[in-house]
Amino acid sequence: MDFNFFSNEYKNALLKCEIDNLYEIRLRVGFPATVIVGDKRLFLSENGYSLFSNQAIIVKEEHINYIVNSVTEFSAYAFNDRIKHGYITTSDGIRIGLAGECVFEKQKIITIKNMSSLNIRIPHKISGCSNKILDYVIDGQRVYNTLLISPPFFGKTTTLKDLAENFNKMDLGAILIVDERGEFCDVFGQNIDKIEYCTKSYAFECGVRSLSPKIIITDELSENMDWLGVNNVASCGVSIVASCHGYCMEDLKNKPDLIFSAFERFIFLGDKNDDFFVFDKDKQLK
Amino acid sequence: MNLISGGCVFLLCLIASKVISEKFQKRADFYNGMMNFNTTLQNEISFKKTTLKSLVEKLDDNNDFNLVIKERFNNNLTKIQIAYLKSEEIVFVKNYLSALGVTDSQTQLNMIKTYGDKILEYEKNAKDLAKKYVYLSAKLGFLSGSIGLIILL
Repeated sequence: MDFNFFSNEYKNALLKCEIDNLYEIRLRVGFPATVIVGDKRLFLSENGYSLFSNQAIIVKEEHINYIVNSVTEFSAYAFNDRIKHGYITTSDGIRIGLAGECVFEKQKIITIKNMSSLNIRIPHKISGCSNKILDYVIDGQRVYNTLLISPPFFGKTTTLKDLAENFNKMDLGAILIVDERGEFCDVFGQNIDKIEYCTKSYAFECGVRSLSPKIIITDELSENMDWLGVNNVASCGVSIVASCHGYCMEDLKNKPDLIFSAFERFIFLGDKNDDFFVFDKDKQLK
Repeated sequence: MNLISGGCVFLLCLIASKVISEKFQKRADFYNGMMNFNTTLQNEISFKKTTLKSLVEKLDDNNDFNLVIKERFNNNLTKIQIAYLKSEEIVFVKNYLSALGVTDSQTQLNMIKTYGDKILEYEKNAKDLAKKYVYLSAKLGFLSGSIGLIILL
């Protein structure tokens, strides 16, 4: 994992840390830097992880600016489309959520300035983590239209990444990854095509027309256009595996009705590794 | 003895003329590099939105402007000193470097256009001066050196 976008103070601190279980770094101006390691919330001090806030590095505005400038390579113009959606992504697929003052013009957000908090999500590749759900996603050579559902931080993206690699190994046909936020940058394969950093609706339309995928994988459906796109893809005979935020079946009822016409399998991921529930349109399968 | 002294004076005059002409030539080259970068940046922002870092990495080290812009990415903007530029020109260059990359593409393009006009003006002026003085100082250096040599002989 490349932490070169941090200033030396943070880089040196992180060098002293065991980063295999590091999932998140939160920086808020004026407050101690916190990290989530495994399921524990700790502080980041000059000597690595610490239990005590008084030992932690206190985040300054220049620390935040340094990170943003490094990741954007001093080129806000090249990243502004992502900045105004509240995130930037490093070349390693580390997603950095941004909080600050939104600048509006003609009722549209044009950028975020004076950033005050960063939420740095460290992606993990857990090989085989999707094996447990594979039987519910594949029927012979056909992939069910499947929706993975969980609250943030339960491993939806990690599972999708592993599913993509599993599909690739199983040679199920061309797989198109629609990667709106650059989080699948470490997923490759002979059957995998990727459309990155564009809206899902564009990628669905162009991808189906020009890349002839058999399966489309995408993360975090949220806007109405996303659901509409999914429905169109499903009606073209392309299998789609996607994810969205939610906790239980009741949460899905608040989403557009299209969800039930497009998807055949609904898999709820739990906070523990082997914990999951599977539904089809009518009943619970597991 | 006189021949040696005369030769030294001749050489000194040539060296002095070379130093003077280099100052004008380097200034012209600096603005030429700046103009080239500005034009490339304009094209890259309009179309591919290539990052500044990628653009700067491709620059060679044969032009002083390229070296200066590389320093900018090491956060050494305050250390930038260019002997052959006037103080107001150094301020202009620093302002240009500070404004790079900090806004959205449309604002950047407007900024590039505004700075581009001024860079073009500086470049033209620097080239005119170089054209005028590089040749002149070489001639004067040779002439004064020759006079010195003749007097001493």
